[in-house]
Order: sequence, then C-alpha cells, then structure tokens
Amino acid sequence: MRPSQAAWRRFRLTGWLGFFGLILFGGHATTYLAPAQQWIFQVGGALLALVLALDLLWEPEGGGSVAAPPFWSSLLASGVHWVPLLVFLLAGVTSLKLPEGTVPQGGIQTRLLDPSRLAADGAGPGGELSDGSVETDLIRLLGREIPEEPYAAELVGRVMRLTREQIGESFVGWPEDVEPVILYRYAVACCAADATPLGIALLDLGALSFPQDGWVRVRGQVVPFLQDPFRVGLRVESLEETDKPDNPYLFWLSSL
Amino acid sequence: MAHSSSGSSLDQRIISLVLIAVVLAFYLPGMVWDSGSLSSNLELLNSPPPVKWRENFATYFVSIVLEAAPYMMIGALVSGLIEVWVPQGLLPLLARRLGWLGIPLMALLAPLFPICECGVLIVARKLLTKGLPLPHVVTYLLAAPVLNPVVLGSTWLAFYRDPLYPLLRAGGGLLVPVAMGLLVSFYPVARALLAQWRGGCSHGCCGHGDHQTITAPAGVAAHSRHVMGHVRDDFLEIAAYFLMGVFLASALKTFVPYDMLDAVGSGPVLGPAVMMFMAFVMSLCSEADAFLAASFVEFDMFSHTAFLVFGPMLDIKLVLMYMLLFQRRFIAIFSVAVTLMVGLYIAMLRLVPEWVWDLVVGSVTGGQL
Repeated sequence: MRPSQAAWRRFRLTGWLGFFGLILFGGHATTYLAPAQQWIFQVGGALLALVLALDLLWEPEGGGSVAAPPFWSSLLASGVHWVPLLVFLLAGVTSLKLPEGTVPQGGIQTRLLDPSRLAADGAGPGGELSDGSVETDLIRLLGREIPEEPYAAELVGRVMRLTREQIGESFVGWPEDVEPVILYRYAVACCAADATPLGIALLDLGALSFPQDGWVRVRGQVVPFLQDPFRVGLRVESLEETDKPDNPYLFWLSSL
Repeated sequence: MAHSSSGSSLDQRIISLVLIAVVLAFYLPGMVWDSGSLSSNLELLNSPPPVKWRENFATYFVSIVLEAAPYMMIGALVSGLIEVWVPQGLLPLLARRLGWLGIPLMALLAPLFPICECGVLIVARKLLTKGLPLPHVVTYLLAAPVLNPVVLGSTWLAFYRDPLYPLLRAGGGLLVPVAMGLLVSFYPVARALLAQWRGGCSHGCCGHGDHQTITAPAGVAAHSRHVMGHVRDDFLEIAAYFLMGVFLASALKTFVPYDMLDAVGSGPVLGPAVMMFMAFVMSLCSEADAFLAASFVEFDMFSHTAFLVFGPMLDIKLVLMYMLLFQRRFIAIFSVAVTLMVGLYIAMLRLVPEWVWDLVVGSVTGGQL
C-alpha cells in the first residue's frame, strides 16, 4: 500500500524539523548565525514544529481523496527536503576559513574600514582593562581612528603566514625583513554567508611559533603600518594558542 | 503533493536527484580518504576537519538555509493570512479604482508590509490569486525587500551612519520597481505567468486539491486549519527551488575568486556591472548585504548603490524561485529588464551634480556625518 499524500508531506516536514532541531538543540546556531538572526531562526523552527504538529492532529484537507504518486517518485521528490540535514551530517559543524594559496589581493580588510567615514565618536577602541590594555576586536580596531600614540590591545583570531605572492596590493611596501603574518577573523551581519575577513599585520614575532590558520590570543601594541595612517599593525608581545571561540565570528551590529 | 502541478513535481524530483548526488560526491570521497571510516564522520561533533573548500561550502550552505528558511515560513504564514482574511475581489476593486496610480502606491506601501526577499514570492503569489493585477504584484515583489525599514536601517549602520546610502537605496527601491511595474503592464499576462496562476483563485489554482472556499464565517478553528494548510504547502513547494538556489550560490561563493572581479575594474560602467554581478552571485539577505558591500572600499558610491538595489531584486535563489510563478522566457526578459533599469538608475545618479549631493547630505545631517 502506498503511503498517503499526508504521510509524504509529514516525511518532508520531518526532514526540515530534524535539521532545525539538530542545529538548535545541539547549540550550533551561534556557529552560523548572528545573535539577532538566531531569534528569527527559533521563531521559524517553532512555526515549523507547529505546522507539523497540527498536520498530525487534524486530517489533511482533501488529502485522502487524492491518489498518492508512485512510491519512488514521491521518495525522490521528498529527498530534497532532507538535503540540509544531509549536508550538516556529512560536513559536521563548520566555520569559514581562508583557503590557503588563494588569499585574495585586497580581500582581507586591513585598512581602516573606509577611513573617510570614521565612527562619529572619538572614543577609544574598547574598554580599558586594569593593566592599561584595551579590550577590543577587529571590527572596533579597524573601524576607528588610530590614536597618535600606540596602545596595548588583546585580540583573538586566526593566524596565517602568507607568501610574498599572496600579499599583493593590500600590502604594497611590506618590508622585506618583516615576515608576512596576519591575524584575521570573519565579521558577519546576519549569517556566515555575508562574512567579511578582517585582518591585522602581526609584527615583531621573532621566534614565536604558531599553528598555521589556528586560533590564537595575541597581545601587543597597535601601531600604524607601512607608513599609512589607515593601516594598522600589532607589535606582538605575547602569542598563545587558544580554543576556537563559541562564536567564531565577529558581529557588525554589536560592534558599531 | 496536491499543492504543485505535475511540472513542478518533476522539477522537484530533478532538483532532489541533482542535489543529493552532488552533495554525496562532494563529501563522501573526502570522508573515506581522510578518515577511512564513514561511521566516525557521522559523529557530528567529532568529524575531522575536511579540506577547506568543503568546509566553506558547507558553512555557506547551512548558514543561508538557516537564515532564509525562517523568513520563508513567515512569508508562508503571511500568505495564509491573506488567503483567509482578505476578501476575494477587494484587491482588484482597489486596483481598478486607482488605475495606474496603484503601481507607485504598491511601492510606497511596501515599507508598511516589509518582507524579506525569501518570503516575498510566496506573498506575491497569494496577492495574484486574490486578483491583484500582475504589474502591481511585480512592483511589490521588487520593492518590499528593499523598502524595508530594517534593510534601510542596516544600510545606514553599515556605511557608518552615512544617510546618503539608505537614501540612494530607497530611491532605487522605489523607482526601479515602479518602472518595472509599468513595463510589465504592457506584457501579456498569459505569457508571463504559469497556467495555474492566471485568472485569480479558481478551482485548484491554489493547489489545495479539494479547495474549500470559505463563503461564510467558519470559525477560528477552520480558519486556522486553512492558514496552516497554506503555510505547510507553500513552504514545501518553494523549498526545493530555494535549496537549489542556495546550493548554486554557495558553490559560486566557494569557488569564484572575488579578487578577480576587483581586478576587472571599478570604473563608471564596469564598477556597477561588477557589483551587480556579485550581488547576483552572492545571494545575500537584504538585511545584511550592506555590510559586505561596504567592505568593497575599492568601489565608489554608485557601484555600492547598484549592489544594494539590484541584490534584493535578482539573485540566484530568486531566479529559481521565480520559476514557480513565471514562465521561463518571462524570467529571462524580466532579469534583463531589471538589470537595465538598475543601470539606468545609476546612470541618472551620475548625472546629478556634486553640489546637489552635498546639499542633500547637509540638509539631512545638518552638515555633519
């Protein structure tokens, strides 16, 4: 006996609900969505659950009087609704990474974000900590005017050593004696799909070792770089490996 | 499924086959190679990091689905409420009384009924079944995702509180949809719409099989069942096309090197063209695309505006979802027309003398940004 139209409908909804549920109850929403978007996601998930629940409670409208298509045809048509869950199960929990060897020229924001439109207030880049350093992130760091005097800052991000070929136009004039290493992190507004990589040059690394494209916590002095007031570098004082943050992305709306 | 025609059922099967095959081809070989065991990779939290492009593709795909699918559900809910609560005949009556003025009015009313581009198609289909003429529907379809208070607010924030950008975006979001609505009024409806969407809500056009027309107050329970039925069916019907669009957008985002596009140039013609192409390929939500546009500092204000106006009107996801409403030939003509209209809007902006921009910015901000 062929499953009914209603049964196939519920099978499709279950695919979506399974995907939503795995993300929501597995605590993975923060890996993909900005905080405001997570709320919308929960509303959508609740609506989906309600639709399925009511479909189970009520008889489908006229569904029983319509003949169900052949089994394999319905199964194939239903498969598409399980694709998001399939991708998530096969790929696992993922976050964006800069592909090695294809770092785009000018693709990592190391300039101040459009210096012609600096933030209106002239306050410092972040809250001052008890030891005189400044708590900041790459959005705040790159979105504000560089003070005349260097200041101490601590940043968390991914560290990547670049080749001279990868430096490209973003870093014209990079000194020959300075190893091209950057600290970068993606900034998002809504979800990982709109992510923009933000980066800062790491200077005076000396003999410090670091994992290529690994997560690190770096402390140092924020200084102008390349004799360009709109580029910044971080003169490194300490660097240590750290765990991937629960929120691997920076969020534009919480930093502007 | 009762809601879809045999044509869209075939499309769903094809989309399903293609997506499942490609996803398995993307990940299974890598999983077997990297770990030697399929079962260990199905332990979600312990899956070893795959090659970067696979990881990036999955991140884009999952994040777009998570971000957009709720808006589709909300759009389906709005559509269901329109189906139940908007009397048949009201919208065509209003459209007849207003005449051609109804087209710009649809754009001006869009901020009062804002909806993301992922959900607007579902609402637009419902407005059609309620008898609203196609030109009015097209105007709303294009204007609603742009003339959205949240979208304009995020644009303002993304460009560091510069009011010019949301103004330019709103201008494009008003003029281009109105122009498109007026253009579409000359296009035969029978050659634009798929057969099941012509002629308002007749038998089976809403696709609910034994469609029950509510001719008398039937109570909250019956109304609720009707609304939820529409939510369910609209969402499931559009989901396949949506996922295909997300797949294509994710693949292009993963594999297209955008620095190559930067190298093409950022001149007065190429700049807007490149930015429109990027908007089409990136398929971003209109509430967030301004932040990405702002990061392209090599491009000028006009190129940014082209990105901000074009993206919510036409991208890969939307073109595929349009296939549920429009004939393919119309979609092609429509796409070209939207592109030309946005280009024309940008060209008009370039003709404006600089002192006018200074005056506009000065009057809005009191001389300060």
